Amino acid sequence: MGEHLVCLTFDFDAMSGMIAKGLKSPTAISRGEFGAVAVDRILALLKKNAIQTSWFIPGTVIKTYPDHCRRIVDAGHEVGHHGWTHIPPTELTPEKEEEGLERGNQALFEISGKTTQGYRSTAWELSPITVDLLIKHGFLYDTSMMGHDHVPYYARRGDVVSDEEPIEFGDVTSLIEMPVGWHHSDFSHFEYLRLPNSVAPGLANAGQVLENWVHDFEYMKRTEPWGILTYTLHPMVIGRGHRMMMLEGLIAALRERGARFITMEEGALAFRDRANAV
Amino acid sequence: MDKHLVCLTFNFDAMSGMVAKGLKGPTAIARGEFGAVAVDRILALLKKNAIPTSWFIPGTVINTYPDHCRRIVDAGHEVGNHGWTHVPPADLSPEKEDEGLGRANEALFDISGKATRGFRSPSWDLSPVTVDLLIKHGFLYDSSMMGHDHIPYYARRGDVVSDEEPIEFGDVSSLIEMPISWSLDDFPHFEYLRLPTSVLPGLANAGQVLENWIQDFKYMKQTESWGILTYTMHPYVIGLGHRMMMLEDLIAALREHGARFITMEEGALAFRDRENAG
Repeated sequence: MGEHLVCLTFDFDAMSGMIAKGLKSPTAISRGEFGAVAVDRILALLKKNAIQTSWFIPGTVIKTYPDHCRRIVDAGHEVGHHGWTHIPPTELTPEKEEEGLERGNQALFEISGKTTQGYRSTAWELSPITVDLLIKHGFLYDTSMMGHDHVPYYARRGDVVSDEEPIEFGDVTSLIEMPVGWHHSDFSHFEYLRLPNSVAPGLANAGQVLENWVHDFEYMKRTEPWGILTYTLHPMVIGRGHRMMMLEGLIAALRERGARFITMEEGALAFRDRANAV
Repeated sequence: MDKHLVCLTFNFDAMSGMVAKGLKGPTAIARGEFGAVAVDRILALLKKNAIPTSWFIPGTVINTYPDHCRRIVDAGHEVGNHGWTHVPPADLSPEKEDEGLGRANEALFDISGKATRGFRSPSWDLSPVTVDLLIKHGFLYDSSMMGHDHIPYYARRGDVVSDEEPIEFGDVSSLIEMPISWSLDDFPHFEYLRLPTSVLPGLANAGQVLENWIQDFKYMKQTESWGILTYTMHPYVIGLGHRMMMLEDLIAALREHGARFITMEEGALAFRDRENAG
């Protein structure tokens, strides 16, 4: 009997994502506020289904919504690092990136009383030094990269990427990578976003997204003896009616197919145990 | 029988496409690495169904993943030239384009032991000299243009295209064109890609793409006495669970409708024989 695990993860960005994109007007801010409304809807659904999940929350959002964040912690969910602001590490100086890591860790410790184990980069892109900083600050895992869909792995540092020659892979580190993917993000499917130079159309039909997502679990179950499938959701996106119904449907369908829901920390530790046992 | 042929083709780009777009951060690279994971999933599916296919692989990728590429060759699939890097020919000087063709051919010969018959331009974009260079390097066929959907043809060189006058068609060459189309390519349907000035939304429902792709074959069967339908897929796109399931279903459905699966080289030679006989 295999183990087919699912990590439901929530990036509670509130208005931080809008701000990081330079969208600071009242309506943009209010889109983020809706995330706080959605947090309680999601917590109720997770409680009803007795599911443990992982939440990644920028430090500025913890400060804005401390009560919501405490409710997440008190309900037994893991909380992880999601920057101080929502500015991607690639747009920060090394000093600012490290400062942000420290400020975010402080804010997390204040609401959870525990050392933070996991980090998820805003915009899912890492700077050349992120992996090193995460190791320096004692993180167990990162969850921002996409090298696999079913199985964690150890992250590399220091790849050399040139335009005209094959890539030179760097060294494997002790930092666990809990991989993610845009195909399992609600944001890329659902969020309608007009920016000066582009439009993200979003607004997919929820049933059609659900079908893809359930098939992905079926495929993992068929092809891997052990694996972890990770979905990334944002309260301000998934909180709308038809998408909350989709989330309910997803949980039911995955359970029906034998999924066990775990936090990312539990998944990372299970991966490490398996890797050490070999 | 044997009149309605299908070419399943795979562009094993790994991270070369990202690098050519200037996306060199760890997550972008990781997305390409997933392609290598997917290669073995695809080879297993093709073996199970006993289907010969054609793979187009940039030279830098052959150097990064030589074992994966040898597995493709050893399983009996054709390998074709997909440039040295993934930079489109239209963005290279004629000298660089010529040099790239040669370097890539060398890398292909190292893994296959055979002269390469086919070329597919990265991003399906030819320069004014590509057709001449392909003839100079002794290629049998190109597979980058869209002038038909069911039937190969001989490529032209030297069209004169002006803004205010009708186009002046150039001369027909001896280079066979095995045409393709965006509508039968997994990339625009499925790949979610955020660039500074655009968003490619991707993330289609696999069942809906499958329906279009099967209808295309049925239409060819209804309207042509002989034809070749070509599907283009990328391991890092098609390799995700719900899309692998779609590929399985596609193969089954096409077979049920009487399709015979062939390599592009076989298709090009069959076209040439019919032309010479006709």
